[in-house]
Amino acid sequence: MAEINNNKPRNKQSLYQTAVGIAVVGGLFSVLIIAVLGLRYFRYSYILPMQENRLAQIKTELASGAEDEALLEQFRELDFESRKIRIQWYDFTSMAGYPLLFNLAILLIGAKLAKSLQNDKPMPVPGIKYSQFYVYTDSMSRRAVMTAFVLVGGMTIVIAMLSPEINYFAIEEDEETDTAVAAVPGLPSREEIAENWPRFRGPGGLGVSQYTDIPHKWDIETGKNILWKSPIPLEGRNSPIVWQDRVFLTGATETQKQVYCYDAASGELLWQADVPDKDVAGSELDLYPDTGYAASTAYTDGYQVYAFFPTGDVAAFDYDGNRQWVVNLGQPDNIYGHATSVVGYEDKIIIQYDNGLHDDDLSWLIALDWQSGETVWRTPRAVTNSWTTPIIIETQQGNQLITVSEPYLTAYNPDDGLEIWRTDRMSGEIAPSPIYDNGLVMVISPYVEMAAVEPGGDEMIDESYFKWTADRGIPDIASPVSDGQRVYLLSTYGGALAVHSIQDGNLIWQDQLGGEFHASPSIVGDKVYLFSIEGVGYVLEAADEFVKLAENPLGQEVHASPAFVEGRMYIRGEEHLFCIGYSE
Amino acid sequence: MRRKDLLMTILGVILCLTAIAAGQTRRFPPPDFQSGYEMPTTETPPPDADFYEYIAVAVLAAALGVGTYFIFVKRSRKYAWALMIFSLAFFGFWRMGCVCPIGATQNMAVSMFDPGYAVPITVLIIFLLPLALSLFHGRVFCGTVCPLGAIQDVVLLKPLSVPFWLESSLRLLGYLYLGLALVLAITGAGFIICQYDPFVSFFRLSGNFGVLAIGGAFLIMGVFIGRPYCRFLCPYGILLRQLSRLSKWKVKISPDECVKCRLCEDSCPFGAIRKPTGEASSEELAARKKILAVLILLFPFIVLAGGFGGSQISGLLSRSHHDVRLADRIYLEESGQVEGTTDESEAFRGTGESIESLYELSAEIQAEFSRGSWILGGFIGLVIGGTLIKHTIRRNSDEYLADAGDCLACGRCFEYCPRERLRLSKLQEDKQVLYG
Repeated sequence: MAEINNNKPRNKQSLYQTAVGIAVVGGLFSVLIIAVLGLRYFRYSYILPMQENRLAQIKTELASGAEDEALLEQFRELDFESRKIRIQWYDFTSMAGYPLLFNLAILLIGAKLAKSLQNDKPMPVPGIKYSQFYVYTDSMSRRAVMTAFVLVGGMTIVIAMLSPEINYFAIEEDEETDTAVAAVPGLPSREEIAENWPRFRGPGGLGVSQYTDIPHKWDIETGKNILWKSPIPLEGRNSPIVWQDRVFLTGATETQKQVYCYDAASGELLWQADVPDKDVAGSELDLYPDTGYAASTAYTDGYQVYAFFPTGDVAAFDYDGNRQWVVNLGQPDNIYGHATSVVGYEDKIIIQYDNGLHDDDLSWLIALDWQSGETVWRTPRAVTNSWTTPIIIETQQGNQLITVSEPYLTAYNPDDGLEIWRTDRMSGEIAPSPIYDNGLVMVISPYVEMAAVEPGGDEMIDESYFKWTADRGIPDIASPVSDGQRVYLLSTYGGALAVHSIQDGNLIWQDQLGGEFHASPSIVGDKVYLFSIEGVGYVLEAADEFVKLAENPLGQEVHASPAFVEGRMYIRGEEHLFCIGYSE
Repeated sequence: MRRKDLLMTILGVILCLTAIAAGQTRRFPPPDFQSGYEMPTTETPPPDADFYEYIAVAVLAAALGVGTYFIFVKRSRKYAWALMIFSLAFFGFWRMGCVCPIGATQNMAVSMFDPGYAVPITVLIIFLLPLALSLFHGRVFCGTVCPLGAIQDVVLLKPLSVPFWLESSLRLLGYLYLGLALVLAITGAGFIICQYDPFVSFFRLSGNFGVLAIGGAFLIMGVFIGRPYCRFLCPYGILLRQLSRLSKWKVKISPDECVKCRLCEDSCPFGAIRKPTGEASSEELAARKKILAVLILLFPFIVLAGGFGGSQISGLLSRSHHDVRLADRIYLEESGQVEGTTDESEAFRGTGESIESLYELSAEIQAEFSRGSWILGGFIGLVIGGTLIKHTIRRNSDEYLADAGDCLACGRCFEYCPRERLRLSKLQEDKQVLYG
């Protein structure tokens, strides 16, 4: 028995040594294979690229017509050598895997066997208070988990700080500005804006006057209620804008662009200022005559006036006619010429610069800094060129900038230009601008339909946001106007007027005024003002039936929409700016 | 240096060199023919026939059944080990680690959110079988069938004990990895569990250098720490762990009763054995109650903080999506912040698609990431809050137990138990009586 007991450890020791030997053999063979792999990898990774570079070099020399037999021979040798290295690498890696795996298995088996022959089974240490053990481990675990949480939190903060923040829709442009930034202290309040007529179709761009003391009859022959009329130096289809005692217009020809400032009280032309071509010469444009070179209405914030021209130039002037800055928005590509008007939002000047077709990547919504003209944000738009002017509306979800072009009605956040929602229902060559009333955005697809949309949702909105649509008397140029109960639609040809209920879009009445119309209708109290191209100012009753109150010829063509401020209406004729108000 | 340590070092070196040597391969350049030879069209080999997939499912089902028998009936580590080696060979080296239930987690997640994404029935079964089994018999899949576990198991030579508190913290990585993998899969960024599977390159004897290096590091770590990937990172293990806690039959160290001899105390290299708890003092109970109350109050804030933290990294996470990276690149090129183009940006421009549509797509993806990051962060907060509460609630047990969630059902602890040895000797005696 004693012999057996003595033999057991010896056998075990011998077995242990064998196992270690097996492991070492497996390990050595593995190392050998790895070493050869490493060598081949070195040749493949470092020598081969050098040879390939040289090959490319020789190939270029040979291709250029060099007839050097030695060079050709060198090329052949190098080519052969490089292919050999590559093939050897492929062959060896495909062959070496299995022997390597086998030898690693041998190594592991030997090591495992040696490990199992070591009698080192864990033995418990004496004495333990289990309860205390768990109090300790649980407490430590909680601390460790909390520490991990804090560490992960810290890492998150660091990562968040290092994370790239790219807003694709805010591509800054390095446009140079002409002059220094105006040192103007503040921006107009909402009340101040409401008291004036700072943009196309007045505050909110809705064509609704805050004032009702506007005469509905005037006579150009007798001068009744014509307070003054002043000549306009250059032609243009843009509308007048008014801020307190100033009235602004723009005018342009193929070669010249100007901004005009009139004294609201006397009609005196206080100043006129030229707008230089920033990048694109106006003469390069081939514009549609009905649009002309100054179709876009300017914008004013009480400190400066901002004008936009179909050349893509935007210019800012102070109230003394000093040019503050001028920038160009890029090459225009608009089949009839740009007619969108400038709008303002807080410290930003916003222009809907739609060009080309929807897949041309040429359309942008651009916000410029009012003081410097530098781009604040710039949002690309997949839309076709259009002639509409955006409006900015207040909703429960915040302010939204509403734009209309084919094929999208799109709402943006005016602060950063990020899209909020859209629908692809728009069609045609769209000139009528959107309006907003009774919580509904009303938009026109020329000759097709008017749609009333609830401004909500996100991304692509569905049919549930469309409260109603109407398809009778849909205009193609003039924008609609709402008196809160009815929406008035004015067609270009024949003066066809269609009035729909704002509640359900049903047609209330329709009639014809005769003539042609470009100017959009306006609401003044309980009256509707309309100006035909022929220069006739129609005043109708805003009612459930057609009631014409007056028909006032102006004596010259009218293409622009009027501006209304306290007691006065300003209307741009073909040659003159008219001020209409109660004459004593 | 002791011989054993030398062996370990050699192993480590070999693994590292393996990783280096089997680095990425470049394409063989086509020869410059001048004889009008037309290069043949590259042919893509067809995928494996469905037949092989059904075989894999059948083998998986059989292996799970046999594994359950070995662990719960035979209680044999040797048989379980043999099955594990078979699984390593079949599911690992033969099937090259794919399809595996671990990666299938991503397929399942995508199919839940994308109605147009179809999951083959074989993948569905491969994903569900181990989970279903865990409801009855715990993590038999991990211990005996999973090739990723097996390859780590075979290199385990010198297991070191990981302190329980450290184990608790490291396990959070698994939850983070699971959440991250699901967010990335659902948003279409990719299947990172498969992409960064540390061992699949070994199974295929080829692969990306980085992934091979990660795998090599795991195996070197696995020499000293039992199955580090399974315990601290495996996303499927998270699911199995939770379901196994509900399992009807749990792995028992002792075949009948625990005599508290403590011989099994340090037998588990995976830290899954729980000691008896002893009696709690009234002071301890009071302290635990107090901490529990605080944690319950803090719980919603921890979840919210997690969600907020997650939301802060959504920008970075979204950059894992190729379309977002492409949009970034195009943006940088368009805005003049970088010069030149990349292959990707050139290819995009060649498609004729509008840049705006790419920007919009990228913005949509980023919005998805924003939501996903909130959920991911909230999930992590939930896990941390839950873990803190778990470590506050006192568990009562008067015997040594294999933790139902953490036990990998490898059968190592059986042979340490004197009651098991008694059972085996009785079994031997019975055999002798029966068969002479």
